[in-house]
Amino acid sequence: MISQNLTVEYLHPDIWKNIGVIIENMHPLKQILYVYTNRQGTRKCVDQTGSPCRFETDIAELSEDLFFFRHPEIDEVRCYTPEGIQYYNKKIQEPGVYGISIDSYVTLMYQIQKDTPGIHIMTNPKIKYRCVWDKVSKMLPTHNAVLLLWIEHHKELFFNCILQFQNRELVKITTTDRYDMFYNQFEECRKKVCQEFPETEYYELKMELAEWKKRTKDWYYCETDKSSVTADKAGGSHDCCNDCSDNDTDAPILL
Amino acid sequence: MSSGTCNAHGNKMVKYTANGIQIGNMELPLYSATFHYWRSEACHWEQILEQIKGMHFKIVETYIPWSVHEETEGCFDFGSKAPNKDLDAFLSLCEKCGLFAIVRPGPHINAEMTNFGYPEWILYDEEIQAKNPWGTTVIYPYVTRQFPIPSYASEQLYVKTERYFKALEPILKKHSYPDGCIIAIQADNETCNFFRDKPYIMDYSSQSVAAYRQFLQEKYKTAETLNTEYNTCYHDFKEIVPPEGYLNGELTRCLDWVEFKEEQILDTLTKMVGILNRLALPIPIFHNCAYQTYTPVSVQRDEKIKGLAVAGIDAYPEPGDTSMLKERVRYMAGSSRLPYIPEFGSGSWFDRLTLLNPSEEEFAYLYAFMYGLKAAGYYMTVERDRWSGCPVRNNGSIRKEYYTMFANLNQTAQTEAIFQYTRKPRILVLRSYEMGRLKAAMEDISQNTLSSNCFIAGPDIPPNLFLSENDTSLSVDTKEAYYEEAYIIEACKKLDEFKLDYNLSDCYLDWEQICRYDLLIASVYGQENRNYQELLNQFQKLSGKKLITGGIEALNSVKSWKSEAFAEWADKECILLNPNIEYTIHWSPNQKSYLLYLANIDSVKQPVTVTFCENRIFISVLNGNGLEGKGKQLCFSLAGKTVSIWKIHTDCKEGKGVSL
Repeated sequence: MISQNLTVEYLHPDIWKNIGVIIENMHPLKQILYVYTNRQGTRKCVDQTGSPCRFETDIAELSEDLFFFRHPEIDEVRCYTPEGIQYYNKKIQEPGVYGISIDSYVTLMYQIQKDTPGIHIMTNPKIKYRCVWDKVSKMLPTHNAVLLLWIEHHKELFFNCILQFQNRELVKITTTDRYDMFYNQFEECRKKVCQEFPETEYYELKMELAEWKKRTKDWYYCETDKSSVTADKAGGSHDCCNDCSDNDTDAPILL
Repeated sequence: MSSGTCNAHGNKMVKYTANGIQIGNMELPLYSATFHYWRSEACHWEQILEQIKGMHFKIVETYIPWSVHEETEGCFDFGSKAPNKDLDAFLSLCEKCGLFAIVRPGPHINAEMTNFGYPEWILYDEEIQAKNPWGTTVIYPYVTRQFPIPSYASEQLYVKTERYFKALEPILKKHSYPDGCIIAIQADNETCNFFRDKPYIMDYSSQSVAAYRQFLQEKYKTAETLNTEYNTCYHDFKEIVPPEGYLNGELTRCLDWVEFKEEQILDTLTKMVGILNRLALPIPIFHNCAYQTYTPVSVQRDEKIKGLAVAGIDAYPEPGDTSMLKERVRYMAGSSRLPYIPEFGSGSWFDRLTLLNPSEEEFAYLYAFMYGLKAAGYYMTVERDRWSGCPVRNNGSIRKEYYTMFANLNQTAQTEAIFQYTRKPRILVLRSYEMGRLKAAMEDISQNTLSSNCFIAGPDIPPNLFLSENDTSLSVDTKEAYYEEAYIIEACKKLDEFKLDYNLSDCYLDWEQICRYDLLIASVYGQENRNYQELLNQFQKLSGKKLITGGIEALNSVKSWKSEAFAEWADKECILLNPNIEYTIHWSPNQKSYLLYLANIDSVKQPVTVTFCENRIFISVLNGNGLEGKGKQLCFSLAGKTVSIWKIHTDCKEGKGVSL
């Protein structure tokens, strides 16, 4: 999905400084326990920050269901043995991985961890997607398209980005900084995106930050897709440019 | 070397000094602005260079990426096909604009390029690839594509690098000073296994293993000697296999592997410097370490490489950071010939969670200067693909706030010639490089496969999961990071609390450098080599010098240190009581005046009261509300996370014309 020739340009610093907030909920696994049993049989447990934890007894003695019932704050437990970690490290660095996209590679890393004897993964049942790319890759268009994402905080521009897709690949990330003085004017930017990418289907997604946070969080915790964020094909406002199709009734779910 | 390149004594006409760079007879501060010519349209180059000049920069710096100029092996493009690859034209334009240039041809460049500047035909050549302990390649997972890491042991890597450099040679020669604008060249870039610097990740390729065996043979001479140390029964060095992780009872073997990896980094850099030396360019060669002040990297050892003038360390601070910068700059001030940050973050890569605003950047830069930084390469000053937050945009227009910050900073730095002022701390804190090496050796199979990239983080495994439990027979420091030692951390905390200025270094510092200090605080764990122990003993015997040593068991005694016991080494010039205000003094060459740096490390405004030992004339140089005066006290308010610089005249008669 991510092109190795991805272009990233014209990122307005006042916009892009908020990227951390925007993707905060896109890493579904926040609280992870890592357990390693070394060759001597000594077990060590740390959390995602590397800080030591004391969950070994519960992990060893409780069933998965009971463990997550007792520790609902934990999203995932990853237990490693030397043999498992060796196999994993070998597999994820084989020549066959050169050709796949980085998002596929990251997904593969998750999958190999899950499938490797000597590695045991326990995922909290509340988590629907373990990897951000599991979800995102299913939501994005498979045809040539451009998406304007526009997030406001108390009606002021907080973040935006323009994502361009070609032949199933994300080929460009940019912001409305490319439109200079108009960078914080939604209507102007919408027009300019349509003008700049005339042969491409245009989608837009505009909402308040609070809503964005809620919806992106729901991606990973909801059993159904009802809470998915749906982008409007042609922004629902077809007068923005003549090139936009007005066939919006079957607009694909983009996000 | 042509006659035009050297003075009458045969010395290069450009050389690094302790303060900056000497070009001909002129010593300049080394502040450079990074601009990647190939990432902007050639039609914008001149406007961009003029903007760089407008911020009072005199030096522009650029990579020269191999993958851009030799996409296909043997087919070079220096502008014949793509105008933005016309390096000759770019350098000519620098000359036309009156700018000096620093060039960094790699071969490793990173630059947020998919293959870190290496052509694909290099990375995918199996002969050149590094190997993990299990025989597959070593992957670097960059945000746009994972790629195999080249092996430092591959002779082919150096052969092909030299061919590329040879292709560059006519352009580099034409534009080297004094005929042209190039004043320095960098050997490789952040040479340290593509950030995957843990010991058991690589390189287990046949060529690397052969080099390892050679290293052991040179160290032990005979298999019998090695067997005695390892408690093994090898008949030949060829039988020895490298360790894949720490095992109890195999410490010596693991330490040797860690030491070999240090040697491999040095050897790589030596070869890269050698290739550049063979170009016989009349300019000095430097290197930038990524961030390591610990195994397998050492700036002091790098600077011992023949032909390598200076080794700096890069820095990308987080907003409001003080701890990393203070530690790193003090280390460089204590260890390097020129405290130099060849890449000092200006803006950031797109996949980082933070982006500093202009005032946060200014704080970081001034804070680094405050602790002894002399030279900086602001990376980047021109935005480009995959990078944001610079004073100049890719099309030559400016971001006013960033631009103004740099213009003011450079103007002040140059007007006041701050690079000629020097801190003179009397205390040196010596960390144990060997303790870091011990911790590295005792790791298990940590792979740190993913970088800090915010879009692809996820399957990472915290490296300290694989730290071995302490062997009770060994005295191992309690901190997990190689560069952290509990004793040193506590000692530095106390020195900071007492407002005592100091530098940092380790066992690789030269004796002459150590002797510049009056008080040495060193961590010792009983495992140090004999030479180092002897050096400490010698220092202790010198008149007027004092040595304080300690280790794990000395932690409590450090915590009970009293400031009175250190009064002898305290600065007598001024007193500041506010714990949120840090200060350093930088003396002018004639010792009659100094620059007083005051940093408010808190996020809210703080009152500052400086009490001088005698009447002083003080003039605000930067962030001092334009104040000036005379007396024994300087009082003002300093905004949060701000560094203020004051010029202080010790001889009040010299301050004629200063309003009181």
